[in-house]
Amino acid sequence: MFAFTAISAFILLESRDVVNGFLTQPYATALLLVLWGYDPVPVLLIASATQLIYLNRQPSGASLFPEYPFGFFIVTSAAGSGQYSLLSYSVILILIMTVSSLTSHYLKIKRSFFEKHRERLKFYKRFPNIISAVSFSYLSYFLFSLAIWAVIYTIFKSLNTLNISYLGSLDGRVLPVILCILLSSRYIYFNLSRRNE
Amino acid sequence: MNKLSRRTILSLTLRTYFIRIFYNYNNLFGEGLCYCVFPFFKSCGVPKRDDILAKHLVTFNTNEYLSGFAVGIILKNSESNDADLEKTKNILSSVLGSIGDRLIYRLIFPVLTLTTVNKFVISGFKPDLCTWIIIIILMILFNLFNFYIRYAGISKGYEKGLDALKFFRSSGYKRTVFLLTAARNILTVILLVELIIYLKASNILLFFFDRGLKL
Repeated sequence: MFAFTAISAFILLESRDVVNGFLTQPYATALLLVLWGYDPVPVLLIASATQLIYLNRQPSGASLFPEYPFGFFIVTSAAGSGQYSLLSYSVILILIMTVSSLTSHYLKIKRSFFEKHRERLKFYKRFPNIISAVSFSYLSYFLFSLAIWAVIYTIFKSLNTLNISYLGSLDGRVLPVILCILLSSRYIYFNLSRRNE
Repeated sequence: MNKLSRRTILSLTLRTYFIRIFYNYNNLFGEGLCYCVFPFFKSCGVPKRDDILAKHLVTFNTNEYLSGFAVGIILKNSESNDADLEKTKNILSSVLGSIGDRLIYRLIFPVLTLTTVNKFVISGFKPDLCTWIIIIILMILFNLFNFYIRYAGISKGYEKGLDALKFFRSSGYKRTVFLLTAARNILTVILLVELIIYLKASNILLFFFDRGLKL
């Protein structure tokens, strides 16, 4: 649990605050989960769907941007290994979008709080200091990840009891594949129509 | 002095990787800019942090990937009066933001993402050695580009000032944008076709309806 939350906090730090080298995108962290022993098919399916959902979004200015690299990793890691049902895939994708959006709001609160107390949290001797900024940011992300992981893990534990139902017995792969098809179609349509503007 | 030493450029470049951690809603990248430019003033023998803060801790916006250009150009104009420096920062805020968003988030990032997702589909969502190699190579290539554009931005920005931005109107740049746009669109169409083939080949729909009918 602590390993996943520590990595999730690092993912949030890298994707939002430092380096920004696309090292923690879902296509990369999905392979990390596969190395960890997770079933590759559902993990890569969810990663592909997540990437395509947010492909058209771009972080811009002070607007809230869904933190989907973080959302993908923390939800998929908490979901556990194994084949997923239609219900599981649905819940995972909805949770990823919810957590991503929630994290963007958390970031806004965190930035405002850090700015209010910048002398203690971001500065050293009244000048921006990288060690203070990175340490306190990472700590806040770690605590946030811990809380989110606990909630999501509880949700998936209770979901396992529902998997004996009808929805729980259907092959869930159909959902992310069809979602990817629809999202790709929408993306190409959007790009071609923007070209004509 | 029209050129910075390599050591200073390298120090400034590494600092631009952390420019975003200081982002806030008061001055946006103002604090990050102060952090980034510090090595320049240290090398000039002016380690007065209060002076740097007084001059640069104002509202400033940029794209993190093109922050090298911003830093280089601002350092070039650092000796000018406050009004001219303010004007330069305003130009940089609008120009670099839009160029960076278009180049990175609408072109380079989608091409990277679509390439990897295509490879996932081709491999049937079971990563083979080829998938690993492709992803690692793409990440290395992007981060080499990430480093280069920051380093070159600082170097050229300091040499030429605002004229360094003319690069984004050059025919070479326009050709690159065209190629990336074409690659993005082609990869999306290929992905669509591959997904449909995967859906048919893996009999997911058949299995899905079969279970549904049995009930």
